[in-house]
Amino acid sequence: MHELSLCKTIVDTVLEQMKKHDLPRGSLLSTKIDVGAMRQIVYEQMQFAYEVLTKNTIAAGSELDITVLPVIIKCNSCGWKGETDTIMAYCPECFSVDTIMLQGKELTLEKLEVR
Amino acid sequence: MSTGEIKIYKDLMGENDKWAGNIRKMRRENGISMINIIGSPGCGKTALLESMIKKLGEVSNFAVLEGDVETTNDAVRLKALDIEVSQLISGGACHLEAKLVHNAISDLDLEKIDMVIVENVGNLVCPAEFDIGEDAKVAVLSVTEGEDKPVKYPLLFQEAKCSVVSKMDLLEHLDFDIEKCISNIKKVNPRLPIFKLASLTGEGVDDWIAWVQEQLENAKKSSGSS
Repeated sequence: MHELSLCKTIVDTVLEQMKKHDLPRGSLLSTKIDVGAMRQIVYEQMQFAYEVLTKNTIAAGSELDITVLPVIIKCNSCGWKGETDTIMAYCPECFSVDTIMLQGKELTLEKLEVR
Repeated sequence: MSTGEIKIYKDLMGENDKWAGNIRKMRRENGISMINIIGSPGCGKTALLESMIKKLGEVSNFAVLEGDVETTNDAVRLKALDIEVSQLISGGACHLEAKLVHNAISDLDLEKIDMVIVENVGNLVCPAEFDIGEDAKVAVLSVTEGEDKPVKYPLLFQEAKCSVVSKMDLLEHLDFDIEKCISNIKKVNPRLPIFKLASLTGEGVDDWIAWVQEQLENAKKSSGSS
């Protein structure tokens, strides 16, 4: 349940930005975040935490919009690059273990959608 | 009613990682290594600590940070070994974060310490997500658990620098497929060193101790002090 502590960072930043841009209650439609598939985030818990933490704030009623980024690896042996399963650390093409993860561990607050 | 957007692009781990960076800086200045031991409740983390401190405690100075949700039981258990133990009570949190660890390390007499060992909160999931400024995460899995744990919880085994399969002395009494367990670990992280050991009987502990000594030496080298 580390979703709550992550969500606290999200909501703190959202409220800070809303104050900075002088946005009134009800003007925030959604908060968009990117989550890499490697991250062990339970999306429903994240949504629930967001709802609880925004309640009674100027961000109340807005939605948390989560985009999941698939794991992408690159093989240093044969040059293969592409999406893989989260538990596959080796290249599906040549089975080399000399791979690097290009995407899959992100956790970014991307943008706010406002009216 | 027109809609617009406010671009932010904030790394949500940024704040935590900043504190982790501060910890690394503090450690580098003092030539201190640090390992972060992660595993389920009851997988043998404290016993692993006891076995290494008994072996290395004569020559190296350890400080242990005990992460527990509640109670100081583990800290009291380790105090008996005559080492510096700080209890970090996470108060319900399922993992340790870098700021709390930073505060605990700041309270230590760093000149007298060679290695900080963090025993994280018993949990295979959340602690794997957080960098707490360590040199290495150690993934501990006991033979009393399932051999499919590494593929169920891949992040920990990907983030770890070594893994320990503990309670090997119980293997004969269990329906645990050790080969399958090792192959599952390798599936997730083919290059991960794996130590099969039993802390209570000492079986296999020497290889693990050699790995710990390597960490101690690396930290001394990188600080420029000998």
